[in-house]
Amino acid sequence: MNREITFTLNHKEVTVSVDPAMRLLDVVRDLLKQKGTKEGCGIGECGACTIIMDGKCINSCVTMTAQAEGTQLLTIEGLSQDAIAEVIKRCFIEEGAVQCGFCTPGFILSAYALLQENPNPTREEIRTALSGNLCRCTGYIQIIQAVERAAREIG
Amino acid sequence: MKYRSYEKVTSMDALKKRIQNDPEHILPVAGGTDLMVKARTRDWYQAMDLVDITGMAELKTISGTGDNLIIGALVTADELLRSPVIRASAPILASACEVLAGPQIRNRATIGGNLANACLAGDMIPPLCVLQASVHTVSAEGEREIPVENLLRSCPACLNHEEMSVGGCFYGIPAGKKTILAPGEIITSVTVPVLSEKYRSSFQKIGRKQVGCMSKFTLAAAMCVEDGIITDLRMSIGAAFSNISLLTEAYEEAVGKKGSTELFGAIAGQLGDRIEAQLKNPNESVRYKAEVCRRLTARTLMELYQGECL
Repeated sequence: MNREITFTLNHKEVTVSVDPAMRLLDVVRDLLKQKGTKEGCGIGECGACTIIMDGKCINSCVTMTAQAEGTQLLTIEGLSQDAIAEVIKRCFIEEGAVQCGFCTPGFILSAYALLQENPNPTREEIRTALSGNLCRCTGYIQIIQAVERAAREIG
Repeated sequence: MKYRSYEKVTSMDALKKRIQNDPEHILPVAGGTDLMVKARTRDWYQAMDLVDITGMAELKTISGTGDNLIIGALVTADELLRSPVIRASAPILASACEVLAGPQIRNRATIGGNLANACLAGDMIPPLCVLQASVHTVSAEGEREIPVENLLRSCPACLNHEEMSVGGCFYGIPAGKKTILAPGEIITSVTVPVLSEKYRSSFQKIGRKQVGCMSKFTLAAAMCVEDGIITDLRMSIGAAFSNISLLTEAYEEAVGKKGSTELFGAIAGQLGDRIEAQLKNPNESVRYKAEVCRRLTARTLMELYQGECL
């Protein structure tokens, strides 16, 4: 049942031979070892498995790998050399927006996708953009402040 | 996930050809955000051929023909809520999409999938009933148009599982069980009549959070008021009845009358009673929904009457 599926992951073309209905999360995390992509709820509610697909955030736990064919995928590892992402990450640290860190890659990807599209978001727009990501220890105030600060610094 | 086969179909001609062959076992795949959750709970799809239609570009457009909008089945919730045409001509649908799940799901979940999955907590279904929308389908038998309000079958089992959550759904394959769609019959577009400017409309959702959650109760309503007299009232409630349809008793009660706290309280009260009467021994969840209905419906109808809505 395996088939070859090709996509761009973190700026590199990758071809995998997998079950086409396999969760994209499992392919990215287990097969391609991008461990920043986490499994939280597994039903598309918590955002720990967030991946940016063609510029838009998706839940990789409810996405079939075959549906990533031909797309551009970004995980947190793909942002390691990115100037905007560096500012977001520094603001997360400086605003105290990271505690256990499990949700952090998902939040940063959601914030990154938002700032790519809308460099000057309002607080409400930030809240909306992050509403698909759950944090169970830090709370949301510091996270929202970090994104606000990143937007100010980048802008 | 266990299934029999997987294939991608990228054009209408190819789809029409494919559905001639063993339609009983076809399971259309669009955004997959509900299907992938259901696949976790049971091997629903072991005998099914997954037909992935997400490559069909012709199902991804929103077009207008004067009085009607034609929305391709693969248009996502995010595309709907951002579309200037939808915001202007079907604002109630855009409102529902704004609070449908979280942004990641909205980027994948499609209008066709929301209807075909037929979850009673599906946020797009009540507004599409109110808008008197219809779906266009293709199947081995040909093509047909089905009003959205006739699309779903009553599912009393839904009333008994927590929040009507997708993961707890008793029908992993909704066709023939939760909808009148035949196995292998695929929704290709949704026709939405443009709501006249005389109407005010509102979509209300109650869940554990403001967004990013399954709905416990949804209300879609559109009202037309002329010289203080209600000339039309279209209402549909989701996640509280065993079906989603247009609530004709609200229309009959309200039309020709002036709005008042008493009138709207009576309509909302009757609907709340109907929600409770569905079960011999209403559980706490159903009693809660009935109470929400009594208060939220009365308030929303008054807001619509007074012109405080979209």
